[in-house]
Amino acid sequence: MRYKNLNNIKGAVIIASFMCIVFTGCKDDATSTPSCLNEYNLSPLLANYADSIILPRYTAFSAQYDELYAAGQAFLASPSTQLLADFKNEYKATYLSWQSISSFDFGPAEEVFLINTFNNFPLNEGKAYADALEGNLDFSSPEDYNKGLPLLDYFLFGLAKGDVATVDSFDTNKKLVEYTQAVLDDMKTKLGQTVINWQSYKSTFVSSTGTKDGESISLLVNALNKDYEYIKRNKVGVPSGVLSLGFTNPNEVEAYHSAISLELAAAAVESSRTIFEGIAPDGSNGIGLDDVLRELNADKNGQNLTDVILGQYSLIEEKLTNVEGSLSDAVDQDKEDVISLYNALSEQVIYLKSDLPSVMCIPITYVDNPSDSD
Amino acid sequence: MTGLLRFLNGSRSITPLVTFRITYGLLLFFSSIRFWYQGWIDTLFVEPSFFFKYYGFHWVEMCPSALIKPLFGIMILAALCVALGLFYKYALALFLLLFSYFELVDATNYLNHHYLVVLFGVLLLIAPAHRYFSLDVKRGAATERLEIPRFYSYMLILQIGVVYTFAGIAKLNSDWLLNAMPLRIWLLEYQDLPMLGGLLRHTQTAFAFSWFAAVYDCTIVYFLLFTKTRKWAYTTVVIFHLLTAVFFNIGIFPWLMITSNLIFFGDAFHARLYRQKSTFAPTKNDVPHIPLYLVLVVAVFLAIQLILPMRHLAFGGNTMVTELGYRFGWRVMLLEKAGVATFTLRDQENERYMEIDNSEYLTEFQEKQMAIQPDFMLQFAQHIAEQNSGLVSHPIVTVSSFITLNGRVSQRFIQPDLDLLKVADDWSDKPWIIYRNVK
Repeated sequence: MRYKNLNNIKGAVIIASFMCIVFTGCKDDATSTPSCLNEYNLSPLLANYADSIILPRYTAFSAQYDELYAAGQAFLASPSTQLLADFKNEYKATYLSWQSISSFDFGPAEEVFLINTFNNFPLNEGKAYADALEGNLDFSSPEDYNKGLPLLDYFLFGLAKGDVATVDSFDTNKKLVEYTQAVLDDMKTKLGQTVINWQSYKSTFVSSTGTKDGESISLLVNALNKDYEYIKRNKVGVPSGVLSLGFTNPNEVEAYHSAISLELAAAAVESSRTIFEGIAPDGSNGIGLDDVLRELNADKNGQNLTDVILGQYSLIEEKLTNVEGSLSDAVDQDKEDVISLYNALSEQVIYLKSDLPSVMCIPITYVDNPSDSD
Repeated sequence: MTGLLRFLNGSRSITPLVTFRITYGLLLFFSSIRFWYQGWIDTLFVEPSFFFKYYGFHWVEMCPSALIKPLFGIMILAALCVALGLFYKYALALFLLLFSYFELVDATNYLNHHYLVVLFGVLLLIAPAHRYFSLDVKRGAATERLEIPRFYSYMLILQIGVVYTFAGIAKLNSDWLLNAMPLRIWLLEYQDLPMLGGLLRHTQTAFAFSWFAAVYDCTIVYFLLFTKTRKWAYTTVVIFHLLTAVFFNIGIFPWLMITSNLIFFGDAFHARLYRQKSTFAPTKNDVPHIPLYLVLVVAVFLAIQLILPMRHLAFGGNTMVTELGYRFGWRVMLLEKAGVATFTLRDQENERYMEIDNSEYLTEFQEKQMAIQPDFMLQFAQHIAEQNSGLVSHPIVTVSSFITLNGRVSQRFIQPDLDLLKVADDWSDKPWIIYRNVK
């Protein structure tokens, strides 16, 4: 008898709870169906990135680097103003070409710290010079700012006044020759490893079609963003003073001595844009992130997100051309244009880092979650 | 009232409570060791130079880093003592104190299931769960008891009911039911798994999971309560939580629910675990009565938990977006949310300003959490101003903040021209959160 009563009570409780639940749950906001990459086959996208973009860019960059290496060896063997001019030209061409692969900091490149090897800037000039004199040729730490292309910028353009004096310092100080050679070798070794490892990594890259942290699409998008933020923060932000109460840091620009910062920044932005569009070095436009976003119909303020992002790239490219002279001069003399460039770069971060991964349903992470979630 | 008291004082075997104590202690023993082993003591407690606080607990400071590991070690031992029933009350009190401390030092690490660990611990503290199958009994410090009032198991059952019910209610929203979000995102992560992957890629699978989980959370307690459905319900509990353990990074939660749900089983089931006679018949001898005050204390304790998850109703907007009244509400697995928050520190004196590089002040994990939680932004703004007080004497801190929610494009989150230093973090609504409803 008592149990029967209890069961009735239970029944009433259940019905009451259900009513509560339904009542509380049903008032909800108007909905818009979010898009997602469900049932979307990522293989063609990844294949296009590997075959038409990443590998050709590495091939082109390797070829360019070989030119630099050869020019460097020739100069170091018998320094002369003529050979120095060659070395400098190859340095500039290499630095420009570098911008096209700096967005691929994952897999083989990440393993050997390729980014740190080639482009840790601003160079710690004091340390680099001291290391050269001491014959300290250990470049294994990614945290050291004493190597890579910034070192060449300093040694070829900033160490002495004028080409004659530069040739003279290399002639008289064999330590500089030795150090420069070691820096060239360091880059060559790590680039070589990256290119070789990509041969086997390619199939892994193309076949990992999940969206989880560590899978290809996540690596690609995260690395694109990381590089983009590097453009924004390190190439433009830090020198411009927006991160330091308006006190500018003209000597912290990329390639300070050779004064090609703006060209490099423009090349980096172009690289970022063409990766987004899936454009191969030969100009053919394959399937890229832009096409995925279009297919997902991601609407941003009444416009397709792809158009918003492309529009912002154009704006950035326009702002870049507005900045006059070298960037290190412009941060003080053409402040408004630099700040306006920086703001345009910042706006794109929202689209690339926030909107794009969200509508593609790619979790954005630069590191593994250091914790559980719930 | 007296009827209810009589019911709650009805005698039952102590064994369900003992099982609860042992599994709780062991689970926290192992999960705390895992926490240490994963290196999370360093990444979550040692590395950060700044810690986010809970409302009302700003006074809880991180202890010197040399003390962290010893304290954590004591906590691990205390959990083991709880399982063994050794110095039970002291060990449990010590464990709870340390566990709560490590929860309170950085709100970045808030997890619903850690909150549940604390709640279970508080309830265990008033229960005589050490009076059987324990070292305290063995060493003669506690008299053995075979029967206890059923009040103790009912309070735990109610606690579990609160968790499931609110978790279920939280799932009854359009993202979960009509868009299968965020499960679509999370299941998609595994779309290249052999065999299962093909299945996970289909939106229908995410819908099936979502609806099943919603129904499960809303109803499982009742199926566990009925003797007839209990076995099947518990099998479902095990399968459901194991699935979540496989697919999601949710730590001990599945195991905590699988073990604590054993409390629903009858005396006979539990008695068998301790090789007692399979038919347990209460003798009604020597069962000390529950004092009324204790019933009231537990009633208030549970009532607070009915109110806390609903406090978001006092604010405008959707709590999934605003995070107003979000914590302590059993809103689990509802959000794939990310944000970009760029702070600007201005000097009122001289028009100078600078953008803040968050990574100079916060760990990557803290940065990620801060970018979606408005109260963290207020605390961070204060921190920025303090850290730069030498440079900027009359500071203003503003934030340009955008968040994305469950696969949508981003929306501006916080009023961009607001001086965050002028805003008090209290229980009132935060009208400066301008993204309030999903759109």
